[in-house]
Amino acid sequence: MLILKTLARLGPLHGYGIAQYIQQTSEDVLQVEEGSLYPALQRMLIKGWIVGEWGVSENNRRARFYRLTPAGEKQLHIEIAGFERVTRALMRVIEPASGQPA
Amino acid sequence: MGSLDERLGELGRRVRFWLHRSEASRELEEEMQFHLQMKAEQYRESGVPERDAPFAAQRQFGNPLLLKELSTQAWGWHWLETLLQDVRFAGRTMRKNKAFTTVAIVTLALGIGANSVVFSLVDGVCTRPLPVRDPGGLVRLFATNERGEVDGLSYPDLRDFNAQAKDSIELMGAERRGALWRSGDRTVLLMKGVVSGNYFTLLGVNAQLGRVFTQTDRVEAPVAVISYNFWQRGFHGDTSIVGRTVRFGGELFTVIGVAPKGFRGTELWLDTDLWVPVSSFDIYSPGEHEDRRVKGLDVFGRLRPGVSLQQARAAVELTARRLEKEYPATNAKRGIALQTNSAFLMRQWHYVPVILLALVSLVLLIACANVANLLLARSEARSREIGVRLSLGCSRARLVRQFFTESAVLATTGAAAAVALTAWAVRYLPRLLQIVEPDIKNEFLLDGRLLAYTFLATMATVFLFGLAPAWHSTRTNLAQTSRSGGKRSRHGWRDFPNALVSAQIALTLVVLTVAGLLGRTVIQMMQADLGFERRNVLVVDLVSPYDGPKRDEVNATLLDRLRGLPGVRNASLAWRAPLQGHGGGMSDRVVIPGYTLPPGVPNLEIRMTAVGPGYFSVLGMRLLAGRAFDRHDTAGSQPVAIINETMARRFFPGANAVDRQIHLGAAGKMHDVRIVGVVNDVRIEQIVEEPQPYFFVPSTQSGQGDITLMVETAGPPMQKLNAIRKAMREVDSHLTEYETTTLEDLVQSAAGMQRVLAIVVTFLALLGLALASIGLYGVVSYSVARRTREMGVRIALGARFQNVTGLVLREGLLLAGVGCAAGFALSLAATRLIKGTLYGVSPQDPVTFAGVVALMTAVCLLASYLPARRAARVDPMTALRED
Repeated sequence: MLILKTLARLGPLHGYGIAQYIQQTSEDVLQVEEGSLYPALQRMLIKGWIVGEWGVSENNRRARFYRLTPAGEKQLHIEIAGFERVTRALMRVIEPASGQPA
Repeated sequence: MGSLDERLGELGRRVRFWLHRSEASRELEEEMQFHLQMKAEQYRESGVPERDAPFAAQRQFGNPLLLKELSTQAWGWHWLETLLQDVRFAGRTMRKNKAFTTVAIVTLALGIGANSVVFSLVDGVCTRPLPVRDPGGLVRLFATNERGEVDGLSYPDLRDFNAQAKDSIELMGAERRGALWRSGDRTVLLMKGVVSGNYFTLLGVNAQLGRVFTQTDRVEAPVAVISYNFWQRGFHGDTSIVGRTVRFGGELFTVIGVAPKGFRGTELWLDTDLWVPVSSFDIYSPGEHEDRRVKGLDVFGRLRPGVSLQQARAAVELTARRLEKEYPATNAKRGIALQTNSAFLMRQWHYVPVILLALVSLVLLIACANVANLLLARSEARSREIGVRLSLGCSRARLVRQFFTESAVLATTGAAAAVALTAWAVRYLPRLLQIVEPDIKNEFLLDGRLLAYTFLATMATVFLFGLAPAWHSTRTNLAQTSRSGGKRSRHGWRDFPNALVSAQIALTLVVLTVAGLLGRTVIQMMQADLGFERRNVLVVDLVSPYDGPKRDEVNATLLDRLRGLPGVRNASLAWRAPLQGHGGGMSDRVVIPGYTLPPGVPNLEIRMTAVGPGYFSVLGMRLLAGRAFDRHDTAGSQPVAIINETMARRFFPGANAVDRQIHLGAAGKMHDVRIVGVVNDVRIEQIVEEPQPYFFVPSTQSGQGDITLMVETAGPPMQKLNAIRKAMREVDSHLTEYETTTLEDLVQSAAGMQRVLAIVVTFLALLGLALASIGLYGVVSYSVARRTREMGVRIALGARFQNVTGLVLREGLLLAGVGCAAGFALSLAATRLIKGTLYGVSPQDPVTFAGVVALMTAVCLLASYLPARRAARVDPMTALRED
């Protein structure tokens, strides 16, 4: 979901860019093995959620830029909806019930 | 998840990735490389020393090789890759162990091949579905006589069943008739199916050319549909045949269509050349199909939708009882049965197909046990490799899969060889079946059904022989194998190969016993007293175009002429020779003065045949009283008959039957016949039959047109065939030879089914015996090889040749003994199942059982002696220096 969201927000981006962005925006909380990004990207390529195009990076190197497809956008909405449902449920559990004495 | 469209898209992308996998993998690598460089640069910028930056990046990134592997797994072809890897690995190990591979593949090819050949035999004879619509839905309606034998139905019966049970079943009838057809100057006898109008519509067979006749065909001119084979053979596939009028015998038929290629009628063992509807047949032979006594129809049917076999049975049962009451003269004491076509065929074949398939599966089991033992022995040699792989983190499931792939590669190679073997062997199956019927038309094909069966047998094989070794060898204890250098594994595992060998011996004993019993059956049948002597007699089935005095005159001239030929001892003729087809006819209304019919029996029916003068002396039959027929018994003289012993004893007990009068009903009126002689009983139809009343009338007084010439020769009868043919042509060129055989061949054919069965089962038994002895030899040899050092020590300490061989032989014989004991018990149970096909020998025949056990023991002794001798010749010094 994070990859899809990143691509949705920033447009075409290469793997390194995606990793950087996720790390920065999550304020270094989500710091995983960056490499594990690639199996996920391959999976999404197969699913048809993203497409990759070779281009030139900011420092003039060959890099593959990933772009969200309509199917990917749809998938992102599905995942966000699912995530929101889960977080809402979690919030209800951990928030103190209103009107009840603590 | 996902619509079909999405899934198809996904599949397309997977295939694309697979096709361009090297490129995709290169791109991935480049991409990851780019990532690492960027990362390293970032670290450098943030002050990490130049040298350490790439390592820091690497650390953050993870193991690139593993990640690449994981990424490519996303393409979804992982399983295929590993499969190919396994297959390649299996191929390598197979090539490395050439001896092992050859033995395993040959064993499997023989085991699977035997199954394929037997399946082809059984399928071509009995179980192949007819090329009609829904062949599994066909049912058979048939009558049974008091002896439980299958009997046909009459056409009026069929009509009544169809009318009264029409809500549950639709029926059609077919009977086989000959049809003479002149092609150039040759007359050939064709097979004609006289069938109900709904024959083709019920079967669901359409014409390939023209049309088929239907129930509603109310044609004035007689019509016929010809078979594809006859169309090609007789008319060279000329399409203008449709609409032409063709003469068959003296009768003209308009050909309205050609049946589709591959449709040969409702029997697998013959080719029908043409079909005519009963309505057309009746134009030439009016009234025959109104006679309830003519019970020659094979009746097929289809159940109405939603009707079960039980319901249909109840309906036909009801009709049968009604008919019994209404027409007691023809329908009393007749059972009626409705079965699926396949069940009917199984019954007709005495369940022989099931027996054969069961026995051949035993052979496959024996072969599997051999290969399993080979694999086990090899896996022990490989235990070090396995140990290493397990300790390197290979999962056990993965190893089991690897083993199964190896087994599958072995089995598939074996199966390919088996198919080649079958393709070669099926060409000999018709020759084998000619023992039963010289004129068989069964087709034995290497078709989809055979391949499917072979495939299933192969798959079963993989599991049977692959499972145990896969399970066993992956259970290897790591620490132990790596320490002991793969030489010894946990003790106790030898029990399993031993059990396998004993099981092989047991199964082989079962097949051997069955083969032995069948062999004894054939011998008994050949030694049975048939009532006639098995002399050199040529038996020629003739079709004579004449009747009345002209026929008698031609016959008499022919017999005189034949008797005059050099090398011919005697000649006679008969309606049917003994054991030739149905053995003649049946007189369905016999009245014997002084004999009262048992209650409920409306008519006395006695089987009979018509014979010429000299018949009894040609066959060497004994005249017990009175005289034989001679040339003074003519159409004009007093009607006479000669009866057999059983008939004399049953109807004239304690009295002289000669000169007594009996009355035979024919053509609506009775006529008196005087008994002039009594002869001994002969087998009429089969070698295995109860003696039954039977009588003979002179051929001149019978009106029967079918003639079978019986020519007794001094030497082998077939050598005289050309001289006899020449004489026939010279006497009358219109006599058509239909089928020629010898008396000896008739006797051999009468035991044909048992003979074929005995041949096939003996072959299977020998194959099983060979495989089992190889199995025993292998296991004992292996055990000897493992104990070389022990043997060396024993010999060094003074053990003699006999001591050592005795030690090994004991081991082999123990296995054989266990196997024989189990096999003996199994055989006792199994042979009871084949009781129906045995003759003159009990299923528990002690001679067979003892002989088979003795043979098995001898073979086991030999199989253990060879390794035992090797063990005794071990050079103690060499053995002790090993390691």
